[in-house]
Amino acid sequence: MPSRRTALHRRHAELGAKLADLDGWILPRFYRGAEDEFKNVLRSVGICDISHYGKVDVKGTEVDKFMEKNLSSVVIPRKAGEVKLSSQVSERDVRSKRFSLIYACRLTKEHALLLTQPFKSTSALDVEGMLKLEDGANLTNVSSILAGFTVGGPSSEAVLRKLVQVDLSGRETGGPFCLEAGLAKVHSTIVRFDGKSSGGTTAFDVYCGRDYAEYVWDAIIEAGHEYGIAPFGLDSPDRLGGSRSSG
Amino acid sequence: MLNFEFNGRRMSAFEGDTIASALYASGVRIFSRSFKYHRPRGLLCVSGRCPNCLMSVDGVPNVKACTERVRAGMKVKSQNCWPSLEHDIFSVIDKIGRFLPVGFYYKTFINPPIEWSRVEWIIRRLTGLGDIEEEIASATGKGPKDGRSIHSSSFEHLNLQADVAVIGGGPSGIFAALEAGNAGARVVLVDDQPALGGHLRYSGETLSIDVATGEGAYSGLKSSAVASTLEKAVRDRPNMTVLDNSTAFGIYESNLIGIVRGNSVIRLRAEQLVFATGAHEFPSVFQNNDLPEVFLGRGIQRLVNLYGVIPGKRAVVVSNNDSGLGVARTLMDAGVKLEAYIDSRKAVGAPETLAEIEDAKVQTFLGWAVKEARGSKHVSSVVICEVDNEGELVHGTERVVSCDLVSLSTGFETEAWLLNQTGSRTIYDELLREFIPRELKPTVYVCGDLTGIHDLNIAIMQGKVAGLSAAVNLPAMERSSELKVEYQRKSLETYSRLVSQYEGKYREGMKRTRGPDVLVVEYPGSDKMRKRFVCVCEDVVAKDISLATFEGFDDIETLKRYSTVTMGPCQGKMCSMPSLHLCSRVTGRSIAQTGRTVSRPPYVPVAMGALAGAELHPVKLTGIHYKHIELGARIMDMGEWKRPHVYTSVEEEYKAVRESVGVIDVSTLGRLDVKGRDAGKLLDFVYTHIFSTLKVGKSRYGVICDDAGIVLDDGTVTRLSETHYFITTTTGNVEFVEEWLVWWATALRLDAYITNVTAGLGAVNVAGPKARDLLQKLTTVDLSSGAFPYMSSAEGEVAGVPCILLRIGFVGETGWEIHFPAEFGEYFWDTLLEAGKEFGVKPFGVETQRVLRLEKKHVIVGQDTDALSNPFEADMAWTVKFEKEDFVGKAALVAAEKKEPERMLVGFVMKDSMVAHDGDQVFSQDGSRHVGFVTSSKFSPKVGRCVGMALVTPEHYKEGSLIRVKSDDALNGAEVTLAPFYDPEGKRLRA
Repeated sequence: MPSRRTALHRRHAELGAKLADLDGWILPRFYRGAEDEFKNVLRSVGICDISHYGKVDVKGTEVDKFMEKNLSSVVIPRKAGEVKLSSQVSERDVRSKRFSLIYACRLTKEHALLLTQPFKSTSALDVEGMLKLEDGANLTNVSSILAGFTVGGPSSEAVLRKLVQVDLSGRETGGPFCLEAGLAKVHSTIVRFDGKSSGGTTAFDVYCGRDYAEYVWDAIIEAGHEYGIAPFGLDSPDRLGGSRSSG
Repeated sequence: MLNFEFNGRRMSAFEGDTIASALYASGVRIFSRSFKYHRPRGLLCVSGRCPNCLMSVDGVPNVKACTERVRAGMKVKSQNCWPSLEHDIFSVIDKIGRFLPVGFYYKTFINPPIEWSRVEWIIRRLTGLGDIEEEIASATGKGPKDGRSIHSSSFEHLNLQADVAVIGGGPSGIFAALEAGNAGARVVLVDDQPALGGHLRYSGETLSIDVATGEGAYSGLKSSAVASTLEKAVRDRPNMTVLDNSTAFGIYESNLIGIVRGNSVIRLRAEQLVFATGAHEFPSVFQNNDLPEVFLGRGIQRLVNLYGVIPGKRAVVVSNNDSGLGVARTLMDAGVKLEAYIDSRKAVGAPETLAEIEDAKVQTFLGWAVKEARGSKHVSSVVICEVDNEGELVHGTERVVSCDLVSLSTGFETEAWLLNQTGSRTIYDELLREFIPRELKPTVYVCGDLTGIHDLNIAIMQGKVAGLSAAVNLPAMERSSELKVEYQRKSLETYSRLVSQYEGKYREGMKRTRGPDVLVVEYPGSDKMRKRFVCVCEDVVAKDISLATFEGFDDIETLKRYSTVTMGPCQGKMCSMPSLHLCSRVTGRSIAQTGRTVSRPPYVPVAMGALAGAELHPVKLTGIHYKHIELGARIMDMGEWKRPHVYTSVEEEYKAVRESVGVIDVSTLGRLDVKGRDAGKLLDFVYTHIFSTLKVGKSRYGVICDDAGIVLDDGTVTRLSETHYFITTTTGNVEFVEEWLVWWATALRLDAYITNVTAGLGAVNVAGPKARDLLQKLTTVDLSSGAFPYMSSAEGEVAGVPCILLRIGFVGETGWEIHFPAEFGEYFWDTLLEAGKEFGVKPFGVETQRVLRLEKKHVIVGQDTDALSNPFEADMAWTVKFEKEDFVGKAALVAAEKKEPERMLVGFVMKDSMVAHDGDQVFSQDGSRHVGFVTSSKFSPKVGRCVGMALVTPEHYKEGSLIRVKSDDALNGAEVTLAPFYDPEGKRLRA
């Protein structure tokens, strides 16, 4: 199978990224140097393309029951906005061996988004063994549909505040949380991580339609200009967010 | 020192100077020319509230010079004058003012109507508030980016949230913020000044604070030092955000606060609102009250104590409240000779200060008021008069006091406009002579000068009450410990009790010193000689208000609209109270009965660019977009999408598709994944066709109608498994169709799940007689006609990429629509073109596709149909299956089928070489009747003439019917064709 390209492939090339094949995806390892990029993130704000991560939608009136039955070792977020990490997901839960790490984000009562390690699809609309359909809920692979970025660093919230009207502080939840909002007028899912899950700094994962990816990336870069935003490659997030790293 | 330019002259300023303070220190006294009469105007409020110092700064008009800090190299120009500020030729208008009464524009140049068009440009040239210069962005150093307008990069929006928003950074606002913050609330403090502290920053007084307030430690300290200490305390709190230089301009639903900060608009949402917006001074109305060097008292204090500027040499202080005493002391401390202290009251609230003034050999006039200011471009003296108990000047008591500076401390108006926008009311307090808050909405709190009480001890305690009340009423605070709740409750009780005590004392003091109301000075014949200005923005004088009231505009709202008073840049801050007093006096109604005008956002002028914010126009790109660019395609906008219009030429691309093979990127097609036990049932209900009987691996064309039977969308439906369908929709309608399906699935309680997979799938249409040969090189799927017939589907790999292949043909040739994960887009496209080289494959764009599909008479919903088209009129009766139990639009379509359609979609071929255009009108053969319009039209290489489709009256729905198309003002003949123009039997599609 040929290598995959994220929607931002051209942007990475323009920025002089050092590209590498990771998990079947052509991805930027770094742009000018992982060390500098990492420092910039810790000092101010950086942005990283994470479109290659696996993304799975669970929708329906019986999301809890569905997940309890089919994804028994996944820690299930029960309340809208909650994000739960399941670091050890058994092979029995999903037949794909790559499906071994899950952030489960509860967007609404009837909708959860699972963020996973990258996996390989073997059909246009499904990953082998992933398409599950039962009364009351179903599971859909949305990995290709959603592009993703990590916007990380102490100024990341200030940058996104220019583009998102809702509260991103997470004060109510006191931990990782997720929400759906318009970001630069594009419907997006935003997940906030703090502390250990993001290398000790604040980080937001932003997921939007792949077709909007360049526009949203550019909008974030523009908004972050005054804070010195710079892209960072996957060599940095290995340290930035060890638990969400590739591979 | 900083250097800048003022009207071409090089000026210098100290770091921290505003333009106004620097200019004043350099001897400039005239800062602007008035709107209508071009009278010279000088500094008045020095706080950004009046219009007297509006200037053009770096090309941006109407910048308030008194609040804009000097930046090195900035270019400042005066506005609304010619040839110069000092000598404005248009000031002649002031001499003919008697011919320009209130309502001048409504009464003059009406007949003949053309009269207005003759004089409009002259009037617009003579009046106005500056000009917009084209190169603003480059002048501010924020130049344009490639392809963006020069203004776009300067403006932005910011979104903030808070538990408690405190508007106003004076002492009460600071204590409100601190108290709310101490209780654990997340606080945002908004203030329009560069530093917090309000009047403490510039009053220059030594504070006297009651120990009972808990802030007695500040007693005996200079007010400016206390302001700095308090500001540091606020800024040091981690749960507090300070927005300085930021003006709240509107309060909207759900406690949304609009804030302007430079070129940014901040949208702040807060659970609780504390208004500590204070009060501002306004000038009293007397003759020549607009002369340069007539200041508001606090304006003088700002100049002296914030910028170190001595405003004059010989001053007169005019007052009717104790703040005038403070100004007098400020002037004396600054070394200005005080010629006279004039107070309309017989007694003052701070007799010890008055004694100090008298000890300095200053003449004091208690029970006196100013009648007139004298001078031409600068004040040279004032005429004062004794005041009787009714507030009237006593004729014959006039005295002239020579001076070069006049300070007015003639009244406060509470800044309640924003508060009013929450729906909270204000009432007029006869004792305080101010509008004070009453009937506050839930989540709204007030404190400080806004309450009409100007006392620091009370402001501190009111701030504490407001801040703590706001915090304890937060929903999130309910989780606090019982101990903390009890402590907060007791604190609130203590604070409130103190406020009550202090306020009682304050009101007693007001009763003792209360003098007559001399806000508007009347004097026999006063208007004949010199103007008494009520509104300095719009040049409305006292006579205008009186005349307008006599003419019937005696309601404060109609008076405002007719006279334009309160409608200028200050939005009533300088003129609201004077005009209200005048209206009250003329009508004989009380101030309370007269009322105030309704406050609406924006409270201060906000640049349109700031309201609009940054340019954010979402753009969608397909996964193959950059390949189109590399191939030299001309790109067009199609909604949010960017699509290749044409690569080389329509002729070349057309030839490739009809004779060999062409490929087109159709990733913009809407794609929906529909799964579930009831998926078929859902589609049967939403589409007019039947899909529950569709065999797995088959595709079918479908139309969606609304309840009225109007065509909403169309596309193909493919059954991938018993419980799984794959739908295509038109490019612009996928979000709607998704919502429509979700709506009906929910309403009918069906087990069906809809996912919009458009963004995740690339799609390419490979079409032409050689399409099979090309694709068969790349896939093991059997593409032969027998194994893969027309309107069937398969899932399999093409060039190693997992794909869904649909055997359908929009362009009328053998072809496959191939859908694949978007991340393979460029690879897939390149592979197709490479494999197709031997067949002469060509990419084709939207324009060529339109020609090809028109030859097949394939309908584009939204172009060949409109908001009244049903499937019968669109010549698609075959898509409606009435044998189904029920579906959306069935009842309407049953009725529509029974009656004669009003229009029918037909094809037509133009006679000779005539050309028709989309939207051209269609007439009967004899040209006498309008019978319809053209929906699509193109030149057909196959037919050799222009062909098209048109919605026409039903009598023309027959083969060979003759019509005329009005194009380029000529009626051109055309012949109706019901069958497709190309391959009418569809043999090529099925080959």
